[in-house]
Amino acid sequence: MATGITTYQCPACTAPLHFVGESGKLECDYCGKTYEVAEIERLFQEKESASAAAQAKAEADLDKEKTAAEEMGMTWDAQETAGMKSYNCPACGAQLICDATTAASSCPYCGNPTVAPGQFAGGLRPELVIPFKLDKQAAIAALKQYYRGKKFLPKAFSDQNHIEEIQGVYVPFWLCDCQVEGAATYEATNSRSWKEGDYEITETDYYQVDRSGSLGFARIPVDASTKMPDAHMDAIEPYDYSGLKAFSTAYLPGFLADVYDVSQQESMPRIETRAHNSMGAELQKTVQGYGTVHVQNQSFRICRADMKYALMPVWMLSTKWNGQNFLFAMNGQTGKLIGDLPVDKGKYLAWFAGIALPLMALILGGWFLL
Amino acid sequence: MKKKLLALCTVLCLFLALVFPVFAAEQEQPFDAQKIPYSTMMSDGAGLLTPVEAEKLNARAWQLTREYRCAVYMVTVPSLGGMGVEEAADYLLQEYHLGYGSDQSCVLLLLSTEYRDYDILAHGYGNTAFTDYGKEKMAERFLDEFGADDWYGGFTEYLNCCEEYLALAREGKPFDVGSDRSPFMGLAIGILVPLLVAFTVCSIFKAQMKTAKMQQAAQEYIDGQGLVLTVQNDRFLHTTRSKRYIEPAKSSGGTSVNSSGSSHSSGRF
Repeated sequence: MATGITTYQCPACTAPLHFVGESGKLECDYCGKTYEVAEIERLFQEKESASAAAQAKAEADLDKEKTAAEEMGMTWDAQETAGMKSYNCPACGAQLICDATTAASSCPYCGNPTVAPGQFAGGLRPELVIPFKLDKQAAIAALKQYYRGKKFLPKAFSDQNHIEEIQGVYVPFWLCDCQVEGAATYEATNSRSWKEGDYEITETDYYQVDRSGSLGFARIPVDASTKMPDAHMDAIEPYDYSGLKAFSTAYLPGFLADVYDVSQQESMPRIETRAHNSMGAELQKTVQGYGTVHVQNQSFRICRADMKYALMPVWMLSTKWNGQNFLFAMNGQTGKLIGDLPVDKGKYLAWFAGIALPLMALILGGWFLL
Repeated sequence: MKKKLLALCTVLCLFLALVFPVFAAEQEQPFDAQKIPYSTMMSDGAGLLTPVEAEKLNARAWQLTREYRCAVYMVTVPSLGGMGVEEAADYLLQEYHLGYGSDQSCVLLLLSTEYRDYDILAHGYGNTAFTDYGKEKMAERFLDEFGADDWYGGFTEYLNCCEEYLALAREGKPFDVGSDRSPFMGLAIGILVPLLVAFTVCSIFKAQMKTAKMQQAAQEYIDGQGLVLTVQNDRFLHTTRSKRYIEPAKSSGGTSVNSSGSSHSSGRF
């Protein structure tokens, strides 16, 4: 029965398969057999097509039902239906209600990893993916390591801290190739000084420096999901692009995956800011041989941009402490972990006083006693 | 018996050594006017003062000399006779055997009206009481008066200064670099600097707690070709010239003494 979603089952024992980053293969938890991504892709191609078709049919049926209901004067609760989709788990038959952007998840009843291939139909299909390399244990270890050496971290936070949720997510990203053109004008100076009697004479030469040029960028990443905090996604950069693969749903079992809900156009301002700032810095680097350089004016524009849609591996870890949520993100490929931590005010004051008071005693003692 | 006597003597010696140093210190030699062969403390060869003013200054200088056992001289001359002002002051010291006692403890202010030169000479104990920094600050106090030809006012300021410096030296704290530091400045520096340092260190630690930040640049994603420059113009506009007075370097304190054992601070008024 086609249900709109697919579970990748072991061809040998029909138990669920998971993608394992370390080996880069799909593994069966039950019988332990491993399979290459391409092998599973080929095996499940037909199943995925059927799932996608089933999803399209289900959506069409739902639209028809809605129209009929509206004609009869019935209205749907917009909040109830907004941004939601329902699927049936092919393993246990339970109905799964997901966000409209969810493309891969797991069944909360039987735990089977599920993929909704229909979510990647047409323009929503990513071109590239960086598969997970690091597993859940690596993320937990990285978080513990992250706590170390943080002087102001409340002891109770690290002691009592239980990770509330940890989830591997394939986050949709736009990778932007672009060319920036522009010009800048600088005021530059060179000074020389010498002594004449009791006076120091300084002569300063002023120059106007003009620079124009172009600069190409390859694959500036910008996350395309409103669910993900932008600061977290930016801070776990960079990814090693040598790990980019052609997209396949076979990389998804065992992880969450979302499709993009931020368009290319909506992502452009973030890319422009970064590209313009870098263009400014690179142009200024060419102004050499001067003592001081100040920007007078500069203007840049992106003259060509090409976006590629890719999924990037991110471990999201969340924890609660004192009624506050703390969210951490780890790059699922490189292991870079970031996140904001609470500050222990007592420790802060102790450190402040521990530095300030002895210094005060030293300076005041030196001033008044020596 | 001999042993008992020896022990008693030792105990007595120890007792005297422990109890009498203070007493011994107080038993200083009385002031001996004979130790000042040249007892005119104010010598106004340039005729800048009235006889009454000169007498008043002389009396006060003599009083300071008696009190601190360090001769306080003032000499004015119409010309230095081709000598440098420091050389002339050294000449006076040696020629007239100035100073108190065998180490010729003294401070001397020499004014020459020909080129309006002055020199403060210190010798013997004077080198302890009148440090280089102290002499420099002393000159700042009387130069305004001498610059305005207020000779009596200038010498009075000189004597006031001598009294202050000699009193401080007797307390074991000669006026030197740091002696005139403002307590308010000390409080301000002593409180603000530690607060600033503590704030900076704590801010660095606090920044480690917040690592989720938006990227502002894309340097890592610049392609292999890099920046291609199409315009590169550097145009000279103009030159400016400025002049700044160089403050003399601050000394670290103490007194620099020349080969004849004197220290000087000289200039023009």
